[in-house]
Amino acid sequence: MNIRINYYRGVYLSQVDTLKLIVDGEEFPAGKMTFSVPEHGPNIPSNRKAYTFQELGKAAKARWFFGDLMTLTVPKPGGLSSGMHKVQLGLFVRNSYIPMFDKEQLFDFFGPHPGGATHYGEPPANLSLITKNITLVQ
Amino acid sequence: MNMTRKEFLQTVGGAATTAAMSSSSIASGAGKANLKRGVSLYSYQDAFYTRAMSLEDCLAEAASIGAREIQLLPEEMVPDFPNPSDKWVGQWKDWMAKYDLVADTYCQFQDTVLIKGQDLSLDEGMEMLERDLKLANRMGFTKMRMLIGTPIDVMEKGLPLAEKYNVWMGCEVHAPARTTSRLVQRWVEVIEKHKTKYFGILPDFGIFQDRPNRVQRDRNIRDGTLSEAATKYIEEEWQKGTPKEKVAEAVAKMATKPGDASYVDQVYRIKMQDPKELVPFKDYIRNFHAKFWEMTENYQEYSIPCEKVIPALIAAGFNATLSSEYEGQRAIQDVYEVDECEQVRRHHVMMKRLLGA
Repeated sequence: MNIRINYYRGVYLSQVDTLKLIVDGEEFPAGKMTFSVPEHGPNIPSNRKAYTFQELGKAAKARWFFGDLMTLTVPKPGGLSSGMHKVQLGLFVRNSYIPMFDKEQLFDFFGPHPGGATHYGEPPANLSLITKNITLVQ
Repeated sequence: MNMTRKEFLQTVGGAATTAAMSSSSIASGAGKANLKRGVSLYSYQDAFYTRAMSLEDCLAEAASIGAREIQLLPEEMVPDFPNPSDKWVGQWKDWMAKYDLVADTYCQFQDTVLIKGQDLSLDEGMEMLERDLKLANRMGFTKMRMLIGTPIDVMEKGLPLAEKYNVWMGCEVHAPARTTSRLVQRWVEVIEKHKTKYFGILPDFGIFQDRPNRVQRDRNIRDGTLSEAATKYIEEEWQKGTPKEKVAEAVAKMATKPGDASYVDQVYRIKMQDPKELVPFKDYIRNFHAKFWEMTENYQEYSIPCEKVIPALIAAGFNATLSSEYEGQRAIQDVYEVDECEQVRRHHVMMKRLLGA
C-alpha cells in the first residue's frame, strides 16, 4: 500500500512515530511491515530503500520527502482476496519542534507544566483513522 | 458535495463580509511604507503536494503578483534537503534572477525530538541549526524564521554561527503568545545582552485575530469534533461578553461533541494584540508572518483585521517584509476546490491597497 505524508513538510524517517493499519477489521502491526521510500525527493525518480519499523525509528538522516509515496509491505499468508476491502489508516508523524522539557518554563502557551515536561511529541491517545474502500483486482 | 471556489465564497464566505473596508482611504496620506510584499511558498503547499505546481511555478506565480520577497520551507520543497546539489542551488539562483525575486526568509524547524522519547543535546541542536544556516547562506537567504519552541540555549549559542553565515534569526511570536509573554522578554534579554543584530522577533499575524476562524470551525463540525449548536452558542455569548465560566458551564451540559468544551477556551483566548504594543520591538523585527485563513471576495481577511494592523505598522515606521501565508487549504480541502493562488492574490490586493504599492 502506498501512502503520502499527512503533514506540510518532509521529515526524517525517525519522526514517523505511530502507524496503525486495519484491513477488514484485522489490525496489522507496524513492527511486522517494511517501509520503503525513494532515496531522493521530493518528486525525483530514484531507487527506493526499505526499512523495518525499528530501523525507521533510528533513521535520523534519511528523509521521507513531502508528497512522495511511502510503500508499506504487509505480510499476510495468501494475501488479500479480490474485491473490495475496508482499509483504515492512522499515522502520527512526530513534528517535534518544541522540546519535551522546557527547563526555564518559558513556553506558557502550554499552560502550567510543573517540572518542565511539555509532553510535546507524544502520540495522541486516540489516533484518528481515515477509512477508504479499496478494490483489489487480481 | 462539489462546489467551485467561487460558489463557496458566494455562499459561506460572501454572506458575512458585511463590515465595510475603506482601505484606500486609510493608506492615503501615510508616509512611504517601508513594508515589502512577499509570500511564503507554504501558501501553495496543496498544489505542490499534488504536483499541480512545481517550485518554479510557485516562484513564477509570486512574481506575477508582485510578491517579490520569497519565504520558503526548504524541508517542503528543496530537492534532497538538507544537501541539494550545487547544480540545483545554481538553478535556484537563476530562478530568483529570472523572476526578479529576493530570497527573504528561510523557515527553520528545530526538531528537538528527532529520536522518540529524547530531546536533542545542545551539541546535536547546534548541528541541526548549522545545517539550516549553511543551506540558507548557500541559497542567498538573509533571514531565518525560527519556531516558537526553539530552545533558548540553541539560539544564544548559535549567534556566532548566524554571524558567520550572515543570517538574521527571528523567533516567531505565535498565538496564544503575545509580545508581552515571558518567552519574548527572555529573547529580548539575550538580544540586549549580546547587542546582536542576528537575533530578533518575528510576529505572526495570528496575534491580531479578532474573531473566530470560521473555515477551521466548519471543518471541525464536518469532521464531527465540534457541534454546530455549541459553537454557535459559544461564539454568540463571547461576542456579548458573557463570562467564560458561565458559558463553559452551559456547554458542559449541552456538549455533544468531544471538542465543544475546549472550543470555549479557544474562542475566549481570541483577543487582538494592539499593533502599537509592537513598536518598542521595532528594531528587532525584520519580517512579519502575514498568516491568513480566508480572504473573502471583498479582499478582507475574515478574522484578522489587516486594515487596522498594516496602517499602524506603516505609521510606526516599521522596516520589514510582510510574508503572506495562506493557511486555510487544509480547512476546506475535504469539500471545496482549494485555490491557493486566488487566496494569495486577494491578500496581495489588500496589502497593495494598504501599502500604496
